[in-house]
Amino acid sequence: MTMDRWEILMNRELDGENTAEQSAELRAHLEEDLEARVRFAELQHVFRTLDETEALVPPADLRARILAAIDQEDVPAARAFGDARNSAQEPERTPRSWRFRFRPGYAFAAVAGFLIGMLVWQQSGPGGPRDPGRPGMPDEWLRGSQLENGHADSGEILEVPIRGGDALGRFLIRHDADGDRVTVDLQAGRTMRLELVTEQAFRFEDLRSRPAGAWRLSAAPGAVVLEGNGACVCTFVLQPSEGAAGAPQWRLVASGDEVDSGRLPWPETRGQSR
Amino acid sequence: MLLDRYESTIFNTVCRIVGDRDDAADITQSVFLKIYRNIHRYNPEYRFFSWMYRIALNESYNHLARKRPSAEVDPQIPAPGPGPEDDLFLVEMGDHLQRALGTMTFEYRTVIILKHLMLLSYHEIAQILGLPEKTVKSRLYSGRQVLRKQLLRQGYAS
Repeated sequence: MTMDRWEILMNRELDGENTAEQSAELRAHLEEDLEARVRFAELQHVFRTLDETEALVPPADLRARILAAIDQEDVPAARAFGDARNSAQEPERTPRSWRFRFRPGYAFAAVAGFLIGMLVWQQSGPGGPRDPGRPGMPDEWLRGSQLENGHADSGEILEVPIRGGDALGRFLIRHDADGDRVTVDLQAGRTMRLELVTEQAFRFEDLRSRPAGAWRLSAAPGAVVLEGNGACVCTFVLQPSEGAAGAPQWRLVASGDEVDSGRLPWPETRGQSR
Repeated sequence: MLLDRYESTIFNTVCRIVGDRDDAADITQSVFLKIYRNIHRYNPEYRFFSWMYRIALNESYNHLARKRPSAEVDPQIPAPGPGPEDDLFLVEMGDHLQRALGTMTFEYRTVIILKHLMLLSYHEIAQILGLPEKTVKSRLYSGRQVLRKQLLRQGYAS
C-alpha cells in the first residue's frame, strides 16, 4: 500500500511524534490543500472511533472454566493462576497425607507457579492497572523493569497531587535519562480541563490514554490537554530537546476557573514542586 | 493472580481479532492452558507479557485459519467478518468498528488492536510481533488507511 509523505506526517502528528518543524510544515500544507484537510479529518475520526471503544467484559464463568481446566492438569500450579477457592473447604492436609500425595511433578509445578508470580509481580508492580483490560496503567508503566534501550532508571516515582473543585488525582513522575515518564490519574466529578504546558523544547512522546466516558486528549509540541469528566488515566514521556529548561507547568480548570495548578518536578526543580 | 491480571486483557485482544465472543472465551481458555503447560519454555530474558500476547495471537490466528478450511490462510488476506447472526454482539463491540476490523487483514487488524485498543507502545508491539518498530509503524499507518476507507464505506466517517 502506497503512502505519501503527508499521510505519514498526519499519522505521526496524531501519534504525537512530529517535531515542531514537522507539525508546522503539516499545518501549512493543510491550510493550502483541501483534499489533505479532508484526509486529516477522516484520520482524526478513525482515532476518535478507536478511542471511544470500550473494553469488553469477559463472560462471568470464564475464569472458573479456565481454573477447572487447569485444575485437571495439576493442582499446585493451578493456584498460581489465581485459584480463589476457600482454603477452609479443602481437606486438612496432614504431613502424612502430604507425603502420600507428593510427586516430583507437583514440586516442579509449584516452583513454576512461584516463578510466574514473581515475574508478573516484577513486570506489573503491586499497584496494578485501574482497568484490567488495558495493560500498563498507570504504575506498571512507570516501573523500572519496563524501561528498555539502556535508559537510566533511578526507580524513584514522584507523586504530585491534584485537588480542586470536584477533582481528585495525581501525577506520577519518574525521571530517567531521556526525560520524565508521566502518568496522569484523575477523577473529576464534572467537566474539567487539565492543561500541561511546557516550553516548545519539550516534546510529548508515547502518548497513551484510557479516557473513560467523555475525556478528550490532545497534544502538540509544548502542550497536552485533557478535557472531560469521570475517571481518566493518561501516560506519556515528556522529553526535553537541547536547551530545554524550566519545570513544566500544569493547571486544572473548571467552568473557566483555575481550581488547582503547579509545576512538575524536573531535575533542576526536583523537590520544588508545588 | 495471573488470571486476575490478564484474563480481561487476553479476552479483549482475542475477541477483537476473531470477532466472536464465544470463540474468544474458548481461545482465552486455551491461551492460559498453553501458558501453564509451556511455562518451562518461557525465556526470562524477554518480557512475560510479550510471550503471553504472542501465544494469544497465535491461537487467534490458528482459529481463523481453521475457519478457512479450504484454503491456506494468508495473513494478508482478510479474515471472514462476522455474520448477521452476530448483530447483537456487534452492538456491544461497537458495531461499525468491529465490522470494519473484520474486513481487514490479520496483520493490519493486529497492530490496530494492539496499538489503539490495548494501548501498547510501538516498542512493545515490535517485541510481541518480532518486527522492527519501523515495520510496525508502517503497518499501522496502512491499517489506519484501510480502516478509514472501511468506516467511510459504512458512512461512519465525518
